[in-house]
Amino acid sequence: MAPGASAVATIPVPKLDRPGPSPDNADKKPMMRQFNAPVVFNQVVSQGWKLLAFSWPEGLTPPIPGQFFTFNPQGLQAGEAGLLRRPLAFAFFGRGLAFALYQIRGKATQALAAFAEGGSLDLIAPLGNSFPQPLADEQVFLAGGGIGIGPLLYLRSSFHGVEAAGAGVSILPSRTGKLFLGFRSASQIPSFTLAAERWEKQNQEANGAARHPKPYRQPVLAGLADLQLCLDQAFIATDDGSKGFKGTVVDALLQDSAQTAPIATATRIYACGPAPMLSALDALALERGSPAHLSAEQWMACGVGACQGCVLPARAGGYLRACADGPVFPQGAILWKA
Amino acid sequence: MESLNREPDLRVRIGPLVLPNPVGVASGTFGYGQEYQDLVDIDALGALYTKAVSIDPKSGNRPPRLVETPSGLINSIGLANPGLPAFLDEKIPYLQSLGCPVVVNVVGETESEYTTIVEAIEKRIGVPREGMKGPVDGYELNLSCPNVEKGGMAFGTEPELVERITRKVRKITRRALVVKLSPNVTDIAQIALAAEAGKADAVSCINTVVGMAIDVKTCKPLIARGIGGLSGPAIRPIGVACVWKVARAVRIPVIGLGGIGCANDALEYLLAGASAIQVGTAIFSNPRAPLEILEGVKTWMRERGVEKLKDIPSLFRFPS
Repeated sequence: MAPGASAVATIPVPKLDRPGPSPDNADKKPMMRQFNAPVVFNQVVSQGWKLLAFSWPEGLTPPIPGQFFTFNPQGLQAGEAGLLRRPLAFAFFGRGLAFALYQIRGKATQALAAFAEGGSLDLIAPLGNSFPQPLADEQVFLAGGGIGIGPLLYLRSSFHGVEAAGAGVSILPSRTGKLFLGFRSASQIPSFTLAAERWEKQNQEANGAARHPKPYRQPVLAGLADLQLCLDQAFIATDDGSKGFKGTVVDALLQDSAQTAPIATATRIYACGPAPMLSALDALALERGSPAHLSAEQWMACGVGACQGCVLPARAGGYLRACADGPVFPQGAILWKA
Repeated sequence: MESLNREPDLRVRIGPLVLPNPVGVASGTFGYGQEYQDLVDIDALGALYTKAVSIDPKSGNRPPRLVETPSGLINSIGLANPGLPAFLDEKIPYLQSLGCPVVVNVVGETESEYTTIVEAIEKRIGVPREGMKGPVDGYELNLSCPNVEKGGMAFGTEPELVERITRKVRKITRRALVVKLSPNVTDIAQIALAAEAGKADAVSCINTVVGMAIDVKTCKPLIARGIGGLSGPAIRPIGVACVWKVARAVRIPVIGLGGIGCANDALEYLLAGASAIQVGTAIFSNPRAPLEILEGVKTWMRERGVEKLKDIPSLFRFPS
C-alpha cells in the first residue's frame, strides 16, 4: 500500500451530527447517516463517464460491495429536477475514500459532474443490502454492463483484498473470480490511469511546483490504481466490437464458460447492468442451478425503504423495494422487464 | 415589535391530544418511523403520521410509481402497506418506543373498513390514559388518496359520506381524530364542514393533486397507472389557499401540508390559518427538513416577539 497513515489522517473527514454505531448497538444492522462529504476527486474517466471520490466519516461503517448512497443534486433548483436525491453505487472503498462511477445522463448527474473538488456533497450512506461473499470452492463469474460495472469492480477488488489478507497462504483461484464487463463501444471503457495522469497534471498546474501536494493525493492515486488493476483483469465485450469480444457481456460469459466446461465445480454469478442483461443471467443461473446475485437500478425517492416508490415486480407476487430489499436480489426473485 | 428572550410556546391542541410542536411528518413519506430512525431524531417531531393502514396487506401499484416533474413529484404507490394484523403485531411495539405523538393514517375500501381498523387498534392498545403517550395517539382518516380505485378519494369528494364515516369512527375512539382532505374537489370547505359535523378533532389538507406526465419519446405515461398524485413545491400555493379557505369555514384546527420544504413555507401555512403542519416530499431530499423547519419557525417567532404558536394566524394582514 503506497500511502502512509499520516497522509490519510490529514484528509478532511466529514463529521456526523448523530453518533455512529456504539458498542451498545453494534449488533444492529449497519447504520446509515446523512453527512456532508468533502469531494476529493471528480474527473472524467471515459466518454460521458466520471469517477467521484469523497472522504468517509469516522465512526461510520464503510460501505460494502453492492451498497449505494444518495446525493442531493446541489446547485439544481426544485424546478430543474433538483427535488429528489439520486442513488449511486459504490465502485471502490479504500484508505478512507469512497469511489463511485457515474454516467452524465440527466440534470442531476450534470450538476454532479460540475461539482468542484474541494466542495462538500450532501450524502446519505451506506444504503441497501450487498453482494454476499462466494464460498471458497466456487467458481465465480462477475458481469457488469454499462455504468453497472461500478459495483462489480468493487466486489472484484474485495476478493483481491481477501488475497492480500491471506498473503503467504495459497490463494484459491475461485477467490479471484472472472470479471466480464460490457460496453457500448471502446470509447466508454474507463481509463483510471489516464484520469490519474490528467488529475496530477491539473494539480501541478494549479498548485505550482512550490505548493505541497494535496493530503489526499496518495489515497486517490492508490484507489485509481486498484480500480485500474481490476479493470485490467476483466474480459471486455463491446456491442460494436471496437474492443474485445463483439457482443453482449452475457454472450461473452456464455462463450467463456462453454470453453472452460465441463464445469465440475459449483459456480456463482454476480451482476449489475441493464434489465435485459439481468434477465438473461437470471435465466442462465436457473438453467445451471447456480446461485446468482443481481443488482437492480430503479428511480428512487427516499432511498431508505419508506416510500415504496422504487419497487420491482417479485416473481413470488407483489413487489420488492430496490432500495431496502435490494438493490441485490437472488436468482428468481425479480420478474425482470427484458 | 419586540423580540422574545424565552422559548416560544409551540404546543398545539388537536382534540384530546397536545402536540409538543407543530411540525409533523406526512403520511406515506416516513413509513412507520423505523426506516428513518438512523437519520432523524424522531422523538423531537411534533407528530408522526404513519403510512396508511388497510385491513388486508396491499402490494400497491405497478411500477414505475414515481416521476419528478418541475418542482414536483408524481407518485402512484397505491397505499402499499403490510395490512392491519402485521401493523398490530410488528409496527405497534416500535411505535410504542417513540417519544413523539403517533397518528395512524387509516384507509378503507368500504365505510366499515375504517371502523374495523380503528376498532382493532383500540382493542389492542386499550383506552387512552391521561397524560400517557400510547403507541397510537390519534387517527388520520385517509379520505383523499388519488391512487386507488376504491376508497380514499372516492369517499372524500362526498360530504355526506365524509360526515358518516367520521361519525362512525368517532363513536369508537376517544383519541384524536383527523380527517385528511383532497384538493381534487369543487369546494374543499364543504368537505371540511362535513368532517367537523361528524365530530372530527381536526382536518389535514391537502393530500396530493391528481397529476399526469407523458414521455413524448415512448408516447406513454411516465407513471404505470397513468395518473398519480402530485406533491412538492409545485402544489404549495394550492395547499395554502385550501388551508385559508378551510380555516375560515371550520372551528376545528387545520393541519396544513403540501410542498413545505423550509420554515417560510410552514409560516405561509400558519399565517393562512393552519394550527400545525406536515412535511412530506421534502423529507426525501433532506430528512433533516422537519427539524430544520421547526428551528426556523422558532427563530421567526422569537425575532417577532410571538409568544404562542396559536397567535400566528392573527398576524396575517389580510381582510377576511
